[in-house]
Amino acid sequence: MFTLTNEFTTVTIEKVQTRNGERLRISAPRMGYSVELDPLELEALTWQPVETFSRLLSTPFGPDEEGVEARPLSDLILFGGEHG
Amino acid sequence: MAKVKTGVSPRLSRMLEELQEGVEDGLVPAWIFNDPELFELEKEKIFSRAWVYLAHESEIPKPGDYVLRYVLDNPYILVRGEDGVVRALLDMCRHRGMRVCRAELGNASHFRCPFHGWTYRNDGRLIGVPAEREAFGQDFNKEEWGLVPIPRLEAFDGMIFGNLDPEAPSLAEWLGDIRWYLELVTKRSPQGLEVLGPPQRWVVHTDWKLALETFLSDSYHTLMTHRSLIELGIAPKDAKYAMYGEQIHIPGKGHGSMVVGAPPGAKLPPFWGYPEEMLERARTSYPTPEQFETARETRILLVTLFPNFSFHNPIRKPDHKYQGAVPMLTFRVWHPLGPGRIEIFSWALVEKDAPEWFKEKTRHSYLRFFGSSGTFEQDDTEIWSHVAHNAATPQGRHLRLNYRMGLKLEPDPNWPGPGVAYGLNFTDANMRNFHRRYLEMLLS
Repeated sequence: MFTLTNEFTTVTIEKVQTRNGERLRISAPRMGYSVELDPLELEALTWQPVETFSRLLSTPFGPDEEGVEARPLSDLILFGGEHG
Repeated sequence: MAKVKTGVSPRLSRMLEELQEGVEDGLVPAWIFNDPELFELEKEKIFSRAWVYLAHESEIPKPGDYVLRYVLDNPYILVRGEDGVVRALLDMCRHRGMRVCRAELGNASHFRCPFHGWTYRNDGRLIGVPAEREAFGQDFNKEEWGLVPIPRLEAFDGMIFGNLDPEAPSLAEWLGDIRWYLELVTKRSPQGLEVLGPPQRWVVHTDWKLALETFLSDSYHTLMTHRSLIELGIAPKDAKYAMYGEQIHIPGKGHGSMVVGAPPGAKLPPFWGYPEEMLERARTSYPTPEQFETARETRILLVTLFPNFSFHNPIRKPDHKYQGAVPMLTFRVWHPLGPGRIEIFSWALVEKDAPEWFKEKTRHSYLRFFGSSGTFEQDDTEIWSHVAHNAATPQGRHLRLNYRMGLKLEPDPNWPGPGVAYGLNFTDANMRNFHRRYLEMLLS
């Protein structure tokens, strides 16, 4: 395993063995995310323009939860609300 | 000469008149080296309109490479984008104004603000906003909220300069004829220069104009200030060694150079003592034969660009035994922090195609003599700080200092380079030219 760091984040990278092959595990310990990429996925990374990564970073702290509606707190505390 | 304008306080107006009265006659009041009100005017009239040296392109050779650099106290991220283009982006998040990049150097494809997480690509575009839809709505246009580039950014032979004034003349126009002297180092080899690591930086309690003066015109101080190095046998035996040269200024620009040869009878190798192979490369690399011939006879070369960049390129003995010579080249910025306070940025550089053994030797030479640990540097900074202190004292501030050395010298008609040259380097001619330009900008 080795670590790559700049002033914005830290990631760890390690080769992991599957039963029949191997993958690369990239982890972001501070974010709690991890991905295991096989050689074909890694190969696909080699021709990505920077725009691809900018698109991935459009949510700077990981993916936004889909389908989660922001609701006012008053929804929960008004008599006659869903919890009434 | 322009009249002192209204708009400054009566006190400063009187002071500027005092400076104006003496400048042609080589009389300079000491207060110019340490005065808070004058410093504010310098910020507005000079550093907000001048081309300021930021970096050498070899500091950011690969996509994503960045360094932080400063024009006054404005922090700029000087970064090479994924597209290879160099930009200088104000290090200030468009959301709340936080620094998005605080490491002085690094490599990054994107910058993520530590305050709210707004994320910018290294070309300055805003590409990521946490909870964008909920926080800013569907019609939020990220393209309007990128990092702000410096108003002007231009380069000369790998030297990158920035300017806060969108209306400023081009860098080429600003430099004018001093380019001939810059090229003596930038075009010494077809591959140009590279930095030997990041700049050393340290704070000195002095004024930027005092530090600059040493590199612009003051060969006279080596007699005394650096006497210990003469006694140690590190500097040439003849204490007047820096006198044997030409001092050249570019009228109207404030720039100047000192081109010093070998003292009479001193057995110093030609061409600063650079290896023979580099001399041969220079023969075809220089734009003109005059530059090659000048370089061949040069042992010490200094160039200062108005307002606050200098380089120093001296032949040096490797040690007190003086077996051979190891020249060195340092670039520096006299970065103004406040009245009587500067930060020195000091780089060591060498030709990209110099032999590896020489790169190592020249780096050692720089570390021994210049940079924060350098012997010459210790001598200079100790003295600069006392002058700046005296310049702020009630009794000392109005003393008129003597910038009259060489006032009666006639220009050298045979000098092959541009500018006004004097055949003796013990003169304040370059400083008088600097003060003229300085005053002109303060009053404009």
